Amino acid sequence: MLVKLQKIWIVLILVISLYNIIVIRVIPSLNIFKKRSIYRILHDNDITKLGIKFDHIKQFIPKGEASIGYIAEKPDKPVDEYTRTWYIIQYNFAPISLNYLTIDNKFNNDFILAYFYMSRHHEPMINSLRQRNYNIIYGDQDGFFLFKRSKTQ
Amino acid sequence: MIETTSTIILSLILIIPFIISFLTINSVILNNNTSLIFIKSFLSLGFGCGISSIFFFITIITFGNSFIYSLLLETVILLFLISYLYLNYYKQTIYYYRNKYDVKLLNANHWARWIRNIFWVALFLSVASFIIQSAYNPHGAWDAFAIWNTRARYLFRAGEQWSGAFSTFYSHPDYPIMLPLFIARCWRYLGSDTVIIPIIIGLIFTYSIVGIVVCSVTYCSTASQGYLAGLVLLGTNPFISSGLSQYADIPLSFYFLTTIVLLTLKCKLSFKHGAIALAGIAAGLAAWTKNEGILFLVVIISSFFFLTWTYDGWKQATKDILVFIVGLIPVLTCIIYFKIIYASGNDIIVGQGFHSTLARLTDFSRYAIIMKKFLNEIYFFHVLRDNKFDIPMTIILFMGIFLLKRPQKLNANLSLKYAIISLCLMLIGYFFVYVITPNDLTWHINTSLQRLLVHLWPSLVFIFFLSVRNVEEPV
Repeated sequence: MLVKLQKIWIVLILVISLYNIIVIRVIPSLNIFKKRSIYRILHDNDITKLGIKFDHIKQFIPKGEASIGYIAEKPDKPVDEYTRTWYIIQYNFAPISLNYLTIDNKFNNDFILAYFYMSRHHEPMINSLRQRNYNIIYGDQDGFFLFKRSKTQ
Repeated sequence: MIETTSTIILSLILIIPFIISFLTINSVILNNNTSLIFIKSFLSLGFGCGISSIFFFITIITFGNSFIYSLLLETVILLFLISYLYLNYYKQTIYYYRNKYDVKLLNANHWARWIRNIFWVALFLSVASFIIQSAYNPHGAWDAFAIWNTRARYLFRAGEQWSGAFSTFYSHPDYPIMLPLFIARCWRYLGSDTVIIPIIIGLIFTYSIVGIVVCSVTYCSTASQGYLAGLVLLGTNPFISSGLSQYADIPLSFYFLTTIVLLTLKCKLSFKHGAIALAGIAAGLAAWTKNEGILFLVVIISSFFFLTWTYDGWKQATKDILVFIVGLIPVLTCIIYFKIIYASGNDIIVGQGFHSTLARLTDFSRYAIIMKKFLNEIYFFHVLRDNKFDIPMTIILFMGIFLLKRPQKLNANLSLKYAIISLCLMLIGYFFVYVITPNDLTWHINTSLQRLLVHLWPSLVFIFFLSVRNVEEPV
């Protein structure tokens, strides 16, 4: 009896482990390139493009002298995705320290990096920053903007 | 031409620490049967990453953030080990021939052949899907780009400002730095922060764990039993996914496993103290990888000392624990230095106060919530919560309980007792961390419990397959 049970147990290990590998790992791997995620530009195939973009933006920021904040209007997206996006931006901006800003923070950074998910969010935020003496020195169609604080009031 | 040069440099920067570790392990454990050579090779993969991160840390705090000194240190140590082994060649050769024929060949019955063949197919499929999924998702998952790889990028890019990696602007600046340091070391040698390094490190740790479990169960039991244990790990999606995510949980799991395997093997080896000292290094590297490793360090030292005291007397216990500490001290020194100089306060520790902690400890509804979540996670141990097709491998262990050896047989094995008691104490420790956490309890459990269980899973699989009857053993 015990021998039979032992054999059944071994068969279960073989079947379940192969099943888990094939169904959960191999099949999704075959379909993986068809997937499209919302933050595609930030996360997958366009990562090289993103790296080039960030390297370009970084040229505007003097090394070791400037403080830089980052801001984005709360998107119509889950908060997790919003935070994740900012982590990826921070990751690509290392070793520049990005201070997280909310709309209530004092805007006392030399630079502010902004990322807007939706084009309709651009204008109010850009106007709000302009009123605080921040001018656009970089902007692109993917929603990235870099603002620099003007020295004179 | 440039690509070929990069590949050669990439291979060299990964191979140097592994050779150093292999030679070190080989110089303290001289037995050389086939399973043991493989165990030593897999051990040296994880040890290599940990030890070279220590070398890199020592050189950047001493000479600044330049890879030249680290490379120089590694070369000197490599040359020293080669000379040492050359001088002891005769001794090595004797042990090799003495142990050469102590090889556990796979029983050639059809069951054993099927198990072996299915294991190799599963391993191939698992590695192939790992590579494809990593190519699609080269930055790993959340904690990888939010914590581990961002810190590595700081160490790589910031030059003399490298300590900015522990700025409070970032999440968990108190986290130990084995993984970021090793990634940054490889990037420095290569001259580019390519995503391939974290992917390779994830791959190495994940499949080294499988290798160690297969070979050490084979060494202590039979090859079929080893392959079955390996299949259980390969089929556990939370385990493979953690490696794919480039999290530090898999390296931590590696060091937990190697400590337990070395303490289990010590009775079977001629060089018992060598295995204990290596277990000390592994436990230290666990604490160098994640804060949970510090809890593990306390647990393993306590269980090892008290069980040895109970069975072999206090003299033997003191002697063994001193050998363990000899292995541990160099790594522990670096951890203490890092925690004092660079790391800021841990969120869980900082959030404690006499009244608030007491209130949490006496709030029994927290115990009920945690227990419910623990039981749920232990039973439905699967990572893809929205994937209803995943079968939790814990079922296998529950179903295999009737095959456990008689208690008298298990009681005779002191090494297994260390392991079982350590794992139980770790679970209790994790439980109480949740009880006193100042964070939102549900959020904290939902975002971490599965990873905590992944830390213990390979060690549990190893212990389980040593505790059940062999496939070839007559019932």
